[in-house]
Amino acid sequence: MTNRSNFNDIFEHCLSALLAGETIDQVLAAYPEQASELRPLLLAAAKAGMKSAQITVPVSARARSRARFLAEAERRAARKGWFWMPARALGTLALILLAVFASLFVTGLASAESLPGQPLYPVKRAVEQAQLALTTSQTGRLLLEERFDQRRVGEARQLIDTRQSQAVDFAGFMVYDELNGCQVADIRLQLTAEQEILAQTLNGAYVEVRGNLQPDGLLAVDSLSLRLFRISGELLEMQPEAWVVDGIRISLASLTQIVGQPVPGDSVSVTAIRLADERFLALSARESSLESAEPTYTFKPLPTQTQRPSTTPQPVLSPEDSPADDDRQTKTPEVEPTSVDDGDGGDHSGEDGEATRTPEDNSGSGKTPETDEPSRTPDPTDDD
Amino acid sequence: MIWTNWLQLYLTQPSYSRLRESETELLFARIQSMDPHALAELHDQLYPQVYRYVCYRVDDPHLCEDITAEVFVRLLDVLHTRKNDIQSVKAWLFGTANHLVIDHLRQKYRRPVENIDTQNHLTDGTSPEKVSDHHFVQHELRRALQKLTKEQQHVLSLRFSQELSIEETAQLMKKSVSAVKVLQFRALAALRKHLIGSDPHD
Repeated sequence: MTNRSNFNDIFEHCLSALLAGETIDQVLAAYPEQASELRPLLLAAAKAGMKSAQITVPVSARARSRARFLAEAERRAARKGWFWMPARALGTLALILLAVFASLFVTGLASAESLPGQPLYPVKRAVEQAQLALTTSQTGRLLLEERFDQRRVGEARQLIDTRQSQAVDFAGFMVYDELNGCQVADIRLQLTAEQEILAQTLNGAYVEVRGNLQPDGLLAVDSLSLRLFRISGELLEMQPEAWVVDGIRISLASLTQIVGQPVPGDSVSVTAIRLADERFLALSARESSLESAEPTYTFKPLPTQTQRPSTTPQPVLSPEDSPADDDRQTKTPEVEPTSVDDGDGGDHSGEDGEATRTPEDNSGSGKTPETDEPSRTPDPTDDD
Repeated sequence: MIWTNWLQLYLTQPSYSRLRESETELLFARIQSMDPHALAELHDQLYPQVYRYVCYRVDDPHLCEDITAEVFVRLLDVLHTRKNDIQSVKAWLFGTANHLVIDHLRQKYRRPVENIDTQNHLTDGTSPEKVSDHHFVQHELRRALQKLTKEQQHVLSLRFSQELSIEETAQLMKKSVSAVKVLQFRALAALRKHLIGSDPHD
């Protein structure tokens, strides 16, 4: 006799298989003993699932909702200001802010010379993040990032000089040769066989590396990857080989993924790497106003990724299926055209040329096990 | 070109999905500063999911639109308190949509002349005999759903309107996977009961 917990597991497996497209008979073939109990529930589930397939999202409804949402946001932003606060509260707030800034300033100054592993080092990194957040100019951000990258290297070298063991991270150009092995920013790396293969691939690239410094000055590497730069701003110039975004020239490669069809004047967001000749090379670029779209390569699962039973595997891009070299413009993801239902009974599929996304979570399609569990949020209205 | 290899590496290494998390963090930083482009991006990304969720439970498409729009307006009240991740926002959106749908249904059936058990007409007054079987089945399904508990409606709506896995559903509902398994089982058993009017096997 199947206990209830086990039955619930079986039921969930059957339900997942049903949602993945198997028929009820196919699903129940694996569980003949429980079939009589499962069948009526799966019939109800099939009916419940059938309903969702017919729901289409009207383009006009989304547009109206967006307009209302943005108008309300603008109204609230305009309403909020210092003037609506009572003077006494303003004064108290000013004193509090002054005390906070003063203590942060003193702590920030004290942390400036700290090294990884020291108590004030997190403060130093937090101050740097704050500086980045407050820098709106892209050129300024890149200069700051370069300065901070150099600081990381300096910190690592200080630790090496004092023969300290410590977890560090820094960025620099990868240099690999058979005589000296791998080095990043002239710091020698201790790599596994698998990492060595990766390091050879990244020879000459600007990379970020994390690991533990050893007393002998070697860095035992935990992770090694391309150092990525995010450059957002107005597309000022657009040429076949390069874009200029907020004054920064970014080269394009044949495999650069471009989402949307930006034109000069549009706001764009670019993910780029740094090349040895101080150029930036775009890996992906998209219009900032577009939904986060996944690149439209053929997907296949990595063998190491956990698969849900009978559900669509997590998408992973396959380089073998990249588009033709001269085709930079990616197609928008294939989704069902939207049927606009404004009550007139007509079908205006594809109105405005805008397609509706499927219910997949686009932001998390690269969902990784590292995604944090969300903190508990209070229910906005009454509970049961 | 040597950087072709680097670009392919970027495309294939799972670790670069971290960038999407970083991009989301950047997006939320812009959202909390009420950047209109970021707000529009968030809205457009999540609107279809919330709309489908509401439409799964509510007959009237105009009401679906109103409820969905209201969910996003209310999001403005709490954006500054949200943890910087999309899952937290989605959980809040679906939770709020659930509450608003339930509130609407309570108001609708609080009117003394209307009794859900005697509802033989669709919301626009059309008798079922004049509507296609397909629409009638959908209507009956919605009626049956409305007889479930709030949590039962919520779990079925998440699983079927969003096609979420059990793990994703559990995360959004802030419950354990095993608790969601029990809940969905009971929900489907109750749904079946209301659909055919007979007792479920046990």
